[in-house]
Formats: sequence, C-alpha cells, structure tokens
Amino acid sequence: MKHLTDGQLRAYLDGELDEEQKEHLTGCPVCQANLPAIRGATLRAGQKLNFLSIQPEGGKSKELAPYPALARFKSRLIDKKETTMFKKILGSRALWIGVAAVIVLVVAFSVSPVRSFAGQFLGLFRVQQVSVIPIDTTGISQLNGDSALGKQIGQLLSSSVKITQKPGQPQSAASAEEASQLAGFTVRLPGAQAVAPQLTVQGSTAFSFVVDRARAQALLDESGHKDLVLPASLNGATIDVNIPASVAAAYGNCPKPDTNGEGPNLKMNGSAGRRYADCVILAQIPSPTVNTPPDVNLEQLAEIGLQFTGMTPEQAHAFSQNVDWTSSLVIPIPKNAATYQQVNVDGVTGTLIQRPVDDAPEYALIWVKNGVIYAISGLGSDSAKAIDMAKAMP
Amino acid sequence: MHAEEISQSFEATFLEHWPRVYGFLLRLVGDHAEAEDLALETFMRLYQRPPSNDQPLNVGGWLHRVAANLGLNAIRSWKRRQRYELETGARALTGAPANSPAELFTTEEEHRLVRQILSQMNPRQSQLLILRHSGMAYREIAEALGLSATSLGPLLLRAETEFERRYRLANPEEEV
Repeated sequence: MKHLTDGQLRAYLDGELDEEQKEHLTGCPVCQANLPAIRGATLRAGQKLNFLSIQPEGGKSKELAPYPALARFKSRLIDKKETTMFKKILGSRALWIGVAAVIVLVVAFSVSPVRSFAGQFLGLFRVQQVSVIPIDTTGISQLNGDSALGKQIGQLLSSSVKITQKPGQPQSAASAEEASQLAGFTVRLPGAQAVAPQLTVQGSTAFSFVVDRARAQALLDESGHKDLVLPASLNGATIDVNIPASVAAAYGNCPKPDTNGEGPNLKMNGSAGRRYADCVILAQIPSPTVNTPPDVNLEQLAEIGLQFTGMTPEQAHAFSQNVDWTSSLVIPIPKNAATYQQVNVDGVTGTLIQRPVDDAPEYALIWVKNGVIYAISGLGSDSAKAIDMAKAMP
Repeated sequence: MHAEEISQSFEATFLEHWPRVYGFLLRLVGDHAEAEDLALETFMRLYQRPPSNDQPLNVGGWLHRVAANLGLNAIRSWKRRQRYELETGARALTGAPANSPAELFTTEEEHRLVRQILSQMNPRQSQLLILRHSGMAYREIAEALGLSATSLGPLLLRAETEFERRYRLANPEEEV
C-alpha cells in the first residue's frame, strides 16, 4: 500500500481513516514520521478555533428556546410579506410618478397655503406642475434596501403602512379606448407614430401610514443627521395616499412588463441601453392625491427633507419659499449627473431632464395637463424624439 | 399572510434544528441578538428558497452551510467597526516584549481576530473550518458542502495551513 498523504494523516487525527489505512499507519515508520508535523499544525489551528465548539458563558440562560423562536419567525414572515408588497408598489415603474409625490410629501404640506385652509379638515395635494430639485445623492445612496439603514426603513414602512388597495397585475390593452376603459381616464396617444405602442395598464393603489416619530427620528440619527430633529406634532399623524391607475405606452423594442407586477422598466446599464436603444415609453397618470392632517407642522419637515438631500439650512429655506408645495410634483435629480430645462409642449411648460452618461445616456420629458401627469422617457441622447412625440399629442 | 399558513412539516423542522443552528451561530458570531437574527434569517431562506427536491435533502447540513455563510457575511460587515479595535490590539502586540504577547490578548480579542480572519479567507475554506471545528463529523460536512468525505482531510489541512499563515501575518510576534 502507498504511504498516506498529508491529507489522509489529517483525517486520521479526526478518526476518519478507514481500517486498512489505519493498519498501514500503525506499521509504517515513514508515515509515522510525518504525523507529528501534521498534528502540530492541526493543534495550533484547533487551539484558535476551538471556541467554535464551546458554549459561551451564561449562554444557556439567554438562549432563545425553539417555541418562542418559532413565534418570532412567524412574525418576521408577516413583516417580510408586507415589506415585499410595499416594495412592489414602490418598485413599479408605472407608478414612479406617484411615488415621487410621496417622497416629496413631507415637503408638499409644509408651507402656509395648506395651513391657511382654516376650516378644512385635511390638506390635499394635487399635482399641477413639475419642479426639479438637484440633489447630492451621496447621502442617499446608503438608503438602498441592502444596507442596515435601508432594512430599518423597510421595517418602519412595513409596520406603519396599511395598503388599502393593492395594485394588482398589469393588464395589456389593444387600443387607447380599451386602456381608457381599464384605467378610468381618457388616455391620449401621439398621432403619426411609425409603430403602434404596446399598452399596459397598471391598476390603482391606495395606502396610508401612521407616523411613528420616535422610530423615524432614530433612523435620522443613525444616518448621521442628529442635527435634524423631527417635530413632536408629527407623531401619530395619518397620511393617506391614493395613486390612480396609470397607462404606459411602449414604442419600439422595449423590455416586456415584468410578471411580478412591474410595468415596462428600462434598466439603464450599457448592454440594455444598446438593446433597447429605440424604446420610448410614454406614461400617463392622473395626479395622485395625498391627505394629511393640517395640524402637523410640515414646514419644518420639508426643510429637514431638503437638508437630508444635502442642502444647507439656508438653501433649504430659500428653496422651499420658491415652490408652491400644494400643487408641485418635485422631482429630485442627481446634482452634476443630470441637467434639466424647460420646454413648451402640449400647450404647457414641461421639464426635460437628461442624464448625459457616456455609456448609457437617458432622458425624460415630464409635463402636467388637465390634472394628468405625462412622462416620456427613453435611452440615448436623442431627446428630440420625446419633444416630437409630445408635440404630436392630440 | 397568516402565521398558521406555515406547514406542520416546516414547523417540525424548525423546532428540531433551531437549537443547533442558533448555538452554532452564537459561537460563530459571539452575540446573542445577532445570532438570533441570523438564525431566523437562515430559516427564512429555507422557507423561501427550499433546496431542490431532486435529491433527498440533508436539512441540517443545508441549514449549517447557509448559517455559516450568513455568519461570515455578518462578521465581514463588522470589519469597519472593528478595524480600530484590531489595530489597537496589534499595536499592543508589536510593542510588547516577545515573551509575553499572548497575555496581552484577552480571549475575547483573540476570538474577534479569529472571526475576522475567517471572514477574509476563501469562503469555502472558512466554511470547512467552521463546520469542522464546531464539531460536525466528516459525513455531515461532506453532505452540507457537497463534497466527498475522503476529500475533507486534504482540504482541511490546506484550510488550516492558510488560517495559520493569516494568523501569523496578523500577529507576527506570537508563537502560534
């Protein structure tokens, strides 16, 4: 029989050799001579690693027994389901406009016009125009779902958000008329297009959330913004959000709507950018509405939100003075990575946002007409397509 | 989603394996709250992405492999938090007389260093070290990691040698 390898000698030390090998080792001086070096190496590593097999002191008393653990598992499972549902709503491309409205909700109710509705029970937000706010995204990048902070935000939302109407699966429609019927508003499509669009209707959604001030403040603290203090009046405020049905019209070779409830979604990386270079999506959605108790002092909140995006207190104050928060959809765009300009389209003033990134430039044209928000977005730098399309609206 | 939708067989699996998985993670990460969080996540993975049914499943081995991965990830994410502490420990060592460095390292500090080394090693090697040194038999490890039991001796020896090399690098003064 051949001499044992070092690996076999290592297995011997764990009592994992077969009988024949053990017998060989007993009678073989060559293998015996190799054993001490292997044993030494194993012992040295074992000494350092042996705490992995020893129960820590006081371990038993703090240990979570199986049944309580199972109870915790079940409640985590429920939390997870709700977070997923919330993410699904948030992740939906067709609803992103409504979501942007929610993001700026804190800002939207901050200013005096809302509070001046003395006799009114609730403040009400309806989009009439679009404003763009350039923000420093470095402070926000830590908010993705994988970071510890992102997870906590997810948990905070899942425990305080009640979804009152689920969006359901997107449905395709054969014509503008059918889409109008499904969506409940008159869908407008530009004339004189070379190809017919793929129409997808995403159902309406509604949810409400109750603000837990302590937890929200803890998150602000944790994100390094201890200087930003949420007003006490915020605690317990209920905010209702209604997002109407939306319609996406996809022109050209566009990604298929995902089956998990998301609308057509342009992934902006390089290869997809080339693959879907001629894809242009026109989305339209009646203004989402957001209700909030008028006694909440949201002016402070707005400025806190703006400071969170990287503004100084003075800049935040100046910005908030220049926007009519009760009727503006405020779109945050990354500072230095995107440009915007006002353009005249569809009889109103629209905003054209462009991201001139080398490998995957993209553009979006957004405007509001008769209470409906329109957005045309595409990959590439040929934003003239969007303008032409908007000008061809009936 | 209602809690009672969890199947009875899943519940039985949970109750049977919880103590071992939890204990394993507790020893690996050294913190009760974190071990509990990671153990719950381990079972969540089993619930959401059960391994394929093509072959009979060794649930215990699967859970330990996932738990080891999650534990190593958690340790890796401590890195920034702990770098300062480790550097402080290493400085204390290099500035100390050569005959007594081990005394400077309290047990807990040493465990922390070991965990960090494990988290920096090739994941396959650290999984192997963790599973073996937490007391699993070759057969169990082989099933959990999808290896043949006879390959474990050589792989373990290689992993231990690599561990020792890294330990020496982190602690040049100490006689390992």
